[in-house]
Amino acid sequence: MADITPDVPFSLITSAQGGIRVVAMSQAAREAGVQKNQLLPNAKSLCPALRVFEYDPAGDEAELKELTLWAIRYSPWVAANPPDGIMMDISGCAHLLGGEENMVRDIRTRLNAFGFSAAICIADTIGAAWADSRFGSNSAEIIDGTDALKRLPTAALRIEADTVEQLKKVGLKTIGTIINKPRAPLAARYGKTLTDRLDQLTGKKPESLNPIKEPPEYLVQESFVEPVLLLDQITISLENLAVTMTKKLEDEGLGARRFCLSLYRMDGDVRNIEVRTSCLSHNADHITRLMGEKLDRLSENYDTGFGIELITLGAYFTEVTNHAQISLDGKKDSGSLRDFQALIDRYVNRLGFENVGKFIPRESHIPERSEELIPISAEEKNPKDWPTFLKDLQGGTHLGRPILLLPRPEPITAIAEVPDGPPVRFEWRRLKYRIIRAEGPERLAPEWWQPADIAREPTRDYFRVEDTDGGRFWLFRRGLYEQEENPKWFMHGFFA
Amino acid sequence: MSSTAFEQLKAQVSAIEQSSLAEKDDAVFSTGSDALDRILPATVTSAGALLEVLPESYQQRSAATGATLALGARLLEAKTGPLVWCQLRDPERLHLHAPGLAAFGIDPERIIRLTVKSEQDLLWAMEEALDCAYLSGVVGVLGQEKLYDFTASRRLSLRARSSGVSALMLRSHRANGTTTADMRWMVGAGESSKMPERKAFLPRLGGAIWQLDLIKCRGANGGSFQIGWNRETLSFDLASRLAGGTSLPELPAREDKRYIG
Repeated sequence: MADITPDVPFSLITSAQGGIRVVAMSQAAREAGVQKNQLLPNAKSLCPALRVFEYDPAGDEAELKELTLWAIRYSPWVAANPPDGIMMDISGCAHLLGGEENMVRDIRTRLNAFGFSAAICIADTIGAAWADSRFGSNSAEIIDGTDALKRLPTAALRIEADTVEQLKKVGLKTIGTIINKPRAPLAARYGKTLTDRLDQLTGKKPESLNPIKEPPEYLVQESFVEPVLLLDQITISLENLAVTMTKKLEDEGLGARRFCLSLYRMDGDVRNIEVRTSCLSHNADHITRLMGEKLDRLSENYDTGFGIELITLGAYFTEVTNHAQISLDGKKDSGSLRDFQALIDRYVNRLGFENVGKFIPRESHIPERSEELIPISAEEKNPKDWPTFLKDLQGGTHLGRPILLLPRPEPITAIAEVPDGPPVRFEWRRLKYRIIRAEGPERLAPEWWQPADIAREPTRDYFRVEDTDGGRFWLFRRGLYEQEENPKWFMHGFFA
Repeated sequence: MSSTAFEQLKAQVSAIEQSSLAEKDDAVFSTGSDALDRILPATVTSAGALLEVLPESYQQRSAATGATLALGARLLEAKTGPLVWCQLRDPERLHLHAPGLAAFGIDPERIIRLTVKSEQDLLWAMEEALDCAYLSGVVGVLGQEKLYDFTASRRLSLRARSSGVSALMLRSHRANGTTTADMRWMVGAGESSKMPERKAFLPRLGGAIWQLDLIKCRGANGGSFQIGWNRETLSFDLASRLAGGTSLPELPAREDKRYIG
């Protein structure tokens, strides 16, 4: 599509009722007489030079979503309005760009630079903005009240095509003809949707939009006069933003659990970098450091392209914090728990929360099911008492538990005394071992309350053995010689 | 050079070596064994040292892991913070068994286990941990060493010195090259200590005995010892003392099988 310029007529087509029909067309094609829903042969006869492309609704939707995310730079409350619109709540945002006129101009310039033509309208209600941007003249971009909307067709009310037809039959063609009519008879005849839409247009009935991305509770931003090409420069700005942000939070006695840094590239690409902290944070250094590590990683596969023009830092999940405890002698104690939490945050953000784990005991005697590694941030209900747990696990035996375990038991070939003696020789991973000491067996069986497939596993007889080199292994025999044809031997763990 | 001048020079050198540790003279961890502590100089057992443990051969990994854990247990004893254990992500790799740690004398609750993708991440995680004085210690389990060299070990050493958190590095048996480690142990499994004989097919196992070769030790000569680990007192024992068998729990005379479920 690279050779398509604005003066080449082209349209998007799709198979529809009665053949291939036009879904959308360029300005040049429209001027040549091509219309929406026209059959392709008709369109071609009107405009022989027409170029056609397959309509791709999924691609459109994805593109719209991308663009909606980009639009967050203007306001945190932004929603996609498929198939072709974006809605923004700009309350309190316009002054940041020097007023509403400047904002419209800015949006239009940037969209045009991306290759989009846009109809933009700022109005008091969602309904009014929707109506004017789609049906109004493009010159009126900022409208006040509903007077300008009165001459628009009723279709601008976001109502069903059927309702529009019914209204047309009785001569009600514009919004102006029905806007001041009593609501009850209208609702009785045309449904409540019509009156709701009318009230939403005038602002009598509230309407809100559902933002595409959760708006941050606090947001600071920095736009660059010259687009920034190096991520190092971003790091410097990030420090400033973090300081501004944390000062703001601190002034209000708040801390946040999540921060999101967004990089807006010249070409509309938006990259979000998110960090989470385990405890409420308003420490600029900590945030900068966490973000900096993620930025370093990003730099490996991120191209700044023509440069980054804007960065924003948002804070989420803010809560009131207690001020940092300073010990009685006035010094912040070094090696504090706070440092430790900061360390864990850095680990979690770089390695992923599932890779920073702690052990908890689980109610099972089967070794691989008796422990669990859970993310360190996960809350556990019962305080654990490992010595008691171990005692319970081992019962009256003294055979101990190995320090190292194989992820899953590995089959070995073993020669053992029948019926329940320890092996005397075995081969594991193609190496032969001769046993000179042995203890056991310790019989472990799955608990009866386990799911059927686990509970029916054969019992295991564990042996602790030592080979001629002093290696100490934990082996088991699965099944019993009396009951089964061929019990199998497995290697499972290693003692120190 | 006269012998007195030489002595003076030696004193000077040792003073320089010790100076960085002088302010932390109280933070010295011991091995729990007087005999072993007498052999090891304060430079290596002070808080904030970098200690390396190597298995003698591939099969001796579990013995080396045991020795590392034993050192880790000593570190945990000396402070209240947790111990960070970093290892590479590998589905086939042996992993720590928490009940086994408890049986070894370590509270699994005080272990934070990191699983990292690469050696680079492992060294990063260790460096970060060494900045946090709250921790009791840091353990890194290296696989094939590509990045761990003199520079990398120097970075770890310096951080360990300034924070007073000791680092333990469990290396592969093929490890070579110079590092700044304060002490390097080569560990192999020895035949376990003698247990009272009983009339059975095979004799029982005794406490673990490791053949320990001190192949590097700053401020002392190397040596070779047989040591054991006492999980009750959390201390190392020189095998000669262990031979008495006093520290081992009495065993029940008869094997009692347990039937569960």
